[in-house]
Amino acid sequence: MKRPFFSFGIYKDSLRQLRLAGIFLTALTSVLVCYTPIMTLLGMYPGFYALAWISWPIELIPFVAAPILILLPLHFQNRRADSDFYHALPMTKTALTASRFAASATWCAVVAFVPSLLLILLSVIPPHTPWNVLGNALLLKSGAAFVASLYVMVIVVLSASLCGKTLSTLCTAFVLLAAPRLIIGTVSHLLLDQCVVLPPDSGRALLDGLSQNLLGGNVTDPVSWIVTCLKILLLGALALWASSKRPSEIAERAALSPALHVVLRTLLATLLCMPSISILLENNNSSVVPVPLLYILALAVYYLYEVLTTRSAKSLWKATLWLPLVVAINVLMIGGVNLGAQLITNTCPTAEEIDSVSLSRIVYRLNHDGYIRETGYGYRPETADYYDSQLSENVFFNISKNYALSEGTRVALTDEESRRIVSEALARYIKEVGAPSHSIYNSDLVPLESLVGDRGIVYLADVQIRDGWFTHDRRIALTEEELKALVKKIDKQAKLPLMMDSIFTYDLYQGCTHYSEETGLDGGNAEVGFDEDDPKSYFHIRDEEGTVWVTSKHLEAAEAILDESGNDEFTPAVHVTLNTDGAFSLRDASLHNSGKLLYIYYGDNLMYAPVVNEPIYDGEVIIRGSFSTLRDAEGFADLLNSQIERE
Amino acid sequence: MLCIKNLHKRFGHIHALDNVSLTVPRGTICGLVGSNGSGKSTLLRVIAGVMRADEGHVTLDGERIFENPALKQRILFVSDEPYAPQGATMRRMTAFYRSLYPTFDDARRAELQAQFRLDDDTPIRSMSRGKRRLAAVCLALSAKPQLLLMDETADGLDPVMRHTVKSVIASDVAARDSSAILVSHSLRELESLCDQLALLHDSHLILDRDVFDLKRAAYKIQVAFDHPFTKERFSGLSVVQYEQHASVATLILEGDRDVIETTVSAMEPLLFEMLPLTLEEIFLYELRSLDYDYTALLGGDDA
Repeated sequence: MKRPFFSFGIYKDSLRQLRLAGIFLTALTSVLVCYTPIMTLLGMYPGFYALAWISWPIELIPFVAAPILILLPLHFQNRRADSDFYHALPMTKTALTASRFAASATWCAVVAFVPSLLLILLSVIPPHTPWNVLGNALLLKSGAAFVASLYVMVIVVLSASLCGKTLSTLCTAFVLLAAPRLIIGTVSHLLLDQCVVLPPDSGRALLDGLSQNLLGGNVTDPVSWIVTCLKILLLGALALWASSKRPSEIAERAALSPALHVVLRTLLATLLCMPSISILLENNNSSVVPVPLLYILALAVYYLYEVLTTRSAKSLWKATLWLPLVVAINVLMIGGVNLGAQLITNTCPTAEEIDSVSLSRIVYRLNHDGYIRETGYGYRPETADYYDSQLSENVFFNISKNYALSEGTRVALTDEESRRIVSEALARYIKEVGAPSHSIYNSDLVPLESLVGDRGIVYLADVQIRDGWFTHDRRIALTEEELKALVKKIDKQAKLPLMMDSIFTYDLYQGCTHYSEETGLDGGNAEVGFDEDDPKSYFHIRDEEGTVWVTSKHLEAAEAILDESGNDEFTPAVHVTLNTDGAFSLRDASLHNSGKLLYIYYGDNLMYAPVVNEPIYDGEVIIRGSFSTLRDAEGFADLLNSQIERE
Repeated sequence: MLCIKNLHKRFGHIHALDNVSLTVPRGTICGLVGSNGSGKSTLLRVIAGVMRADEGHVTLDGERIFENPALKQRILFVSDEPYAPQGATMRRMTAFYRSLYPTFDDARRAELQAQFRLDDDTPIRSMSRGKRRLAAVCLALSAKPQLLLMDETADGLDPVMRHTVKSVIASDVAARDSSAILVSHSLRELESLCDQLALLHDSHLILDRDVFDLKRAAYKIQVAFDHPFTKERFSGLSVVQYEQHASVATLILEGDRDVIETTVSAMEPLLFEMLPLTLEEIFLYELRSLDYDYTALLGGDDA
């Protein structure tokens, strides 16, 4: 008997039914994603915008667009007439659900990818846009959102097959999202005091992060843990209550055919087993993973689902027969992820491909799943831990002790510790993904291959590579020697158009002056020098005669503010507070230069030149006029803060 | 031939169908009657493959229907609340049906659409209830099904359209040697249409008979005498029901037609007439031994 698994008729019909929702969600996401770039093009928001700032609406797709797009085609199960119509059509229930699911997935892909494609399209419209659009990273992000959406949709379909009613379906879906991670996190925390490593599939990571944001799941905080448990119990009770209100005609999972049942069961088991199998594939990294426990949990849920849906102990044997398929799918999916990552990964650029460069010091952040998610730049002593520990001035790490602790604990490490952790983490990361790979958060493409092993402190070079119509940003990691060699190499190149926005020119390796205005910006040779002893390399205030009164060592704090400039208008500015020595120096400078200009410099860049009208005793300076946006001001304040000398 | 064997269907603790067996041969229109909640619609849904039977099976020409797309292409189910997707018109639904039912006949659809006065481009959901039902019937019959399942066949239709729909269904079944199961809670609705009648009561099938056989099992006569008489005068016959108004009596009698005619004629009545037996009266006769409130079946829509 021929039993097709798909019906194009239903697929087309479902696409048509979803068109209003799909178009609306696509338009909404596109507007949110493209708003900043368009405003920038129109000259209303000039400045640098990283991918993370303009693509955040894409991250919401799995939790907003996906449920809407899958619940609409499943809604027919809530009404008897609709259910009768569709289930009486000449197709299997599997084909019916698969066709409707495919229509939802199609619209979801449109919602996820169209905004990214629009943004890439915008990036080639002259004049050259100043934001940092990474075609690859943007599409990867869309891909991640799409993958996460598929997970959400599968869970919703699964929930719908168990419940029927929309409210019940939603509640069950939330429970299915939140409960496993809470259980796994709790068990690993209580029994093993270890963290659980998820596969570095960005879709799963996105889903995981968002599900935690929605329902919580911090297993180290008892209050948070109890609240999360209560939420899950409440949602479960609500799901049961709503389920009991369903029409009897659609009871007994009318929508669930035996074949679809197998598919859903397999998918469920796949989702549950993925972490453990992926870990097994990387030879069981014993430092982080309770693999056998994960398997036991996954199998328990697998069989529980079987019993719940069939209400027959006999079917357990049948379920067991499907386990090899589950394992095979896991292997294929993980292999596919790795292969995909390798296919879309670009290699480290050659010197000839590099158009411009700016330098920064690497700050790795290890996310809750144990993988590097973000990179920052510069010295950013953001937490008291740093000051109190006084362990070192080295790289910051965000290290989480367990699965559910998303924010992690920020600690400072010694050189030796940081080198070891960088090497281990990167080695694991590379092995998992198939290096070099991406950290799509913060739009950084980090070819990490060269970092395996003990390379000491590493630096990032933000480079821009011209490729036909597109300009790709890359961040490459280098040792200090390599960094200097690269700078020299670039320095020798004749034409070096600087494409980075002004504020980013300050994100320098400490002590490395940026290209001088005279040589760098007009396309001439860049001059990059390292002179850590020259106070003029950093923040300083000097008078008209060139006497330097205040330098970086006088800084106490810097803060970005919106300074009132009259008529209820506010201007981005940086409020600088000097320490006691600096306050005295500034007082002397103001007394000696009354009625004259004082020049506030950063390196060779003149930031502000106020006229001294009266003596300044409070040691506070407000730098105005150099910042187009508050973000510019924040960037500069961060830069100043990074140079504050600590006791 | 549709064959239903030992069918059970439960919803939680509710036993919707309990050991139902029914056979509907080709070329037959089967009327399925029963009071509200008796299981008629559930039976129809199980036959249509909407839901799976807990026990027993439903076959068409020996093949099981549930999850059998090839077989379901030969079955059309018109629910009691005909559904059409949002914004769907007859034109769009025609394309939809054509993609799913290989036997869909455009010419037949055009003919029926004209007969039912249905517009091509009016959204079906904006049509009146009766028109929506006509649209569903039009599409279903255009697919030329081997088995037509209709729930509350003439619900919402005016008398003229009701008659038209019945004629169309009857001629369609006769012309193509197909079958139909028409569900109704009204006997009068099915009176002139069905060859076979089935009665569901409390999830049990308590009656399944050929209408012709039913009508041959009992007879209704009207007699009058020139002298007073009582029911005892007919003691030689098997009287199922007796009503007398003045000198005229109406009786429903069991037995052979010739014997009844001979016996009554021998009484030399002033008036003796064999009257057609309505389905109501047949049910009265058939169900007299059952504890069943058949009067509910008589309160349906007027034919």
